[in-house]
Amino acid sequence: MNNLPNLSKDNFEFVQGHTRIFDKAPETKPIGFYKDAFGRFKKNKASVVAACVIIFLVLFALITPLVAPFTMSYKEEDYARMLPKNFLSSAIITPEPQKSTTIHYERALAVGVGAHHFELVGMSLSEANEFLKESGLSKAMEGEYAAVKRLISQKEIKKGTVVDIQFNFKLDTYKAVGFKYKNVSQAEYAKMKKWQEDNNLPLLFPMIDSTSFGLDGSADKESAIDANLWYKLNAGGRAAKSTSNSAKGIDEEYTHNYLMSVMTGTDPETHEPIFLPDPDRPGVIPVPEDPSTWWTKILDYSPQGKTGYQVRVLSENYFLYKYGKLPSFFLGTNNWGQDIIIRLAKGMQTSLILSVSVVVACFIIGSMLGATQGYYGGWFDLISERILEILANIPFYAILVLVKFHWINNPDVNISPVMGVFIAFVMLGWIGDAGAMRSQFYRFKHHEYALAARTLGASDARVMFKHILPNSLGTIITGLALAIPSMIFAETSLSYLGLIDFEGPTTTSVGTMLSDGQLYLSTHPHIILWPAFAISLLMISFNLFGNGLRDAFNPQLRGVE
Amino acid sequence: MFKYILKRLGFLVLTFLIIFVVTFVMFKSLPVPKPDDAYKLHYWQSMGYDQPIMTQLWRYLFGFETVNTEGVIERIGGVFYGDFGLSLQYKKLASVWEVIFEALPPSMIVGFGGLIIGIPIGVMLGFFAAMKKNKWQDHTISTAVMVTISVPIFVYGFIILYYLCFEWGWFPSRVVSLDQGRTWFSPEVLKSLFPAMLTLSFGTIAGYTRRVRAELTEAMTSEYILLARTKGLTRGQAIRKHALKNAFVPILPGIIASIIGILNGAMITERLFSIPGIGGLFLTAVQIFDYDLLMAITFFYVLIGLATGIIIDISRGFLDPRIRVGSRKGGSY
Repeated sequence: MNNLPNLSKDNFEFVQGHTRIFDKAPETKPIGFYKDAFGRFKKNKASVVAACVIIFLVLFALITPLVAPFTMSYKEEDYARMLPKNFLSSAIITPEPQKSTTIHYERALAVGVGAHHFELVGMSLSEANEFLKESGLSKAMEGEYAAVKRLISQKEIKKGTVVDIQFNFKLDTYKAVGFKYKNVSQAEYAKMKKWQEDNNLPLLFPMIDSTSFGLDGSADKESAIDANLWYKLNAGGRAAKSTSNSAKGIDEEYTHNYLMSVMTGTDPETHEPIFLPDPDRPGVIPVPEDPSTWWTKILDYSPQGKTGYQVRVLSENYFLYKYGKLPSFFLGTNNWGQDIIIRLAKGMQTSLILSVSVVVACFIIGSMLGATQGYYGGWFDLISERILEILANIPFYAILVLVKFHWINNPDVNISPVMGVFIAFVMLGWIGDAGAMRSQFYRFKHHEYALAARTLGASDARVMFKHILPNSLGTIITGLALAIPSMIFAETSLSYLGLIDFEGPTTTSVGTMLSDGQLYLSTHPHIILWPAFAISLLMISFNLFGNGLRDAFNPQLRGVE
Repeated sequence: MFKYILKRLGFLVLTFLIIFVVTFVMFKSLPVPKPDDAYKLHYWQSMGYDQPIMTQLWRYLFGFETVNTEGVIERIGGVFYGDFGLSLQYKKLASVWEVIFEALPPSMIVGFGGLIIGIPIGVMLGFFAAMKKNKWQDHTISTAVMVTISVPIFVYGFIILYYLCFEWGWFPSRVVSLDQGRTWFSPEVLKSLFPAMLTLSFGTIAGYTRRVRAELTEAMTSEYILLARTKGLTRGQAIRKHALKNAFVPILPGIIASIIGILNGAMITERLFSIPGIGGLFLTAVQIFDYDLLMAITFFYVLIGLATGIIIDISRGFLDPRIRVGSRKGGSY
């Protein structure tokens, strides 16, 4: 302190002696209510991830129909209940011999042999097994059409005196579809033959006579119409009648395994099928003993009638011929042979469009009434509250039944199921929104800013929509985001329960997919897996996203569930 | 209190009557197919299904006296006489009450089983999460609850069906039928109902965990717990004597509501496991368009919904002496 007088004035100068100071505009950008909320939302990692998942699922639902190889109208029952074929799953399985409910053991082996060794002398079922045992599956694995891909192991199982070999192998489920019978017209038949020559791919294969198959009681009816099983025929073209014959050594009379011909119709007098020899593959023309067998009937019922052909085709090449691409389904196919991925995308479109539009429509109707109720209060509020109380107690299902029978099931009224369900949901759904809006307006209408606006002469509408509404919007948006998953659940349940059928030429619903898939849950769980997974993911994401929004808009509510 | 209950009951009857008339008119605006069966046609005409709606309402409420084939005067229908009509499609001319009461036991057993499994686990998990608040256990439980509540119930059903019924074969995938003298309480029938109970319990567990945790954490941060601790009570004593009691005031009415709610049945679960319950009955009634049955079930649902509201409010007053239900001023209700 003693040094103070010694300090010279020159040591000091005014910091801003020459300039005048003005208020500066803030250099950083102002943080508004929404920006602040967005900042908080960004910090919530789970919600951000959920938002990304929602965007992904929405894009999936929108883009898949544009790029998917198969359309909604695609339906091929030959390839029903196919396993997914994508970068994770190659649809190659190891069938369990004990659990061969889905893939018939011999049938799978027969595809490879049938496609490449059809010129061989035919065999009965037991002989086929014998043959495969001797060749150790090598014949069944030859060539590109073989369904059996790799032999893992084989073990001998002794049943009394008979030694049976049990194979453990890798099976391509797409190739295992193998052969199918098709009824085609004459023109179609010519077209198929031409395609076969042009592309140099085997499509038409010789017919099998299975008229007498199963007479020994060894096979079920289903096996009789299976085009994959091939049988030994006698000189007359008859299939081997019983396995005991081969044991007795009268095997020699059977010479051909296939009918080297195509059936052209039935004789008008005797009703017996007429086979004409295929000039390319000369063979025998059989005379069936019993014309009332299955394939005569099929031909009678076929649209081609008596001018049609019944042919035996290799499914893979038939698919290529029909659709111009090989069968490959990213998420597999369902019960009816429809592509799951496109149906899933369309089903999610239905869910998303319906739920978002219902939530928005409920919000618009509800907020208008709720705002008026809350803002004006008084008698109007009292009376409309009582009415809403009664309306809210009307069961939703009653409304739904009415909408269903009045509009959706009524051919005179042109209303789609989606539109009908939309109306049913909106009829009662807006009541909740009205209540929420009403309490928001009750809360804010006496705040100072509303009073100030009114004092400055703002009209009621301006105070309501310019001042109060933006303030209550945070809560409302959160409510809307959380209402979407419950709407999705409601929509899915309705279609799952079969109350509303959204199924149409271009529409479907996840609930319908689930309900269809449940029939095959024990054997083909993949049909139900993808829709169930997608709907769960969608609901979890929307709930997480809604919780994040709530925390962002009302930080004091954080952690309250 | 008594006055309050009377008042609420009066209001219930009023609301129910209004909803009744509104729903009745709405249902009656649908065309009823004329039955070709002579017995059904007799009922159909007696109830005035081709008459104006007001006539139908009158006959539905008070019934219709008619001379039957044996010359005896008998009354058909009449809600005021306890007759909600006859089922025309589902069971030939059976009283709808009979049909509904037949469907109630399986629904109630499954619903009750779901609660028996769900509530204790839910309450315990919620308690545990609240005790470990903001620790990893709490976060794990909260996340699991979030996921469990979000995932739709049929997904649990599929998982349970696939693993418990098909893959592992512990339970039959369908409900055992009631022939050979079995009742709903026979061991094998109960066993076949178990997967459905388990499916229902997922939602119950998640819901109760969330509520118990929320209520208990709120109670734990309140001032009376602080006071109790300052007085020298241990944490356990404070929780037992103060926090738990207060936390359960809002939860117990919820449990009562859940118990009444089992009367509603569970449509999705009943369809998943093909249980012949009331939810499934409603679906069938919609599909085959059984008029009286549909209306009776609807009114049954409305009545349960309205009654639950009253019972919850009244039970609140019994459970917590501080709440004076129906008091005019200063009451916490």
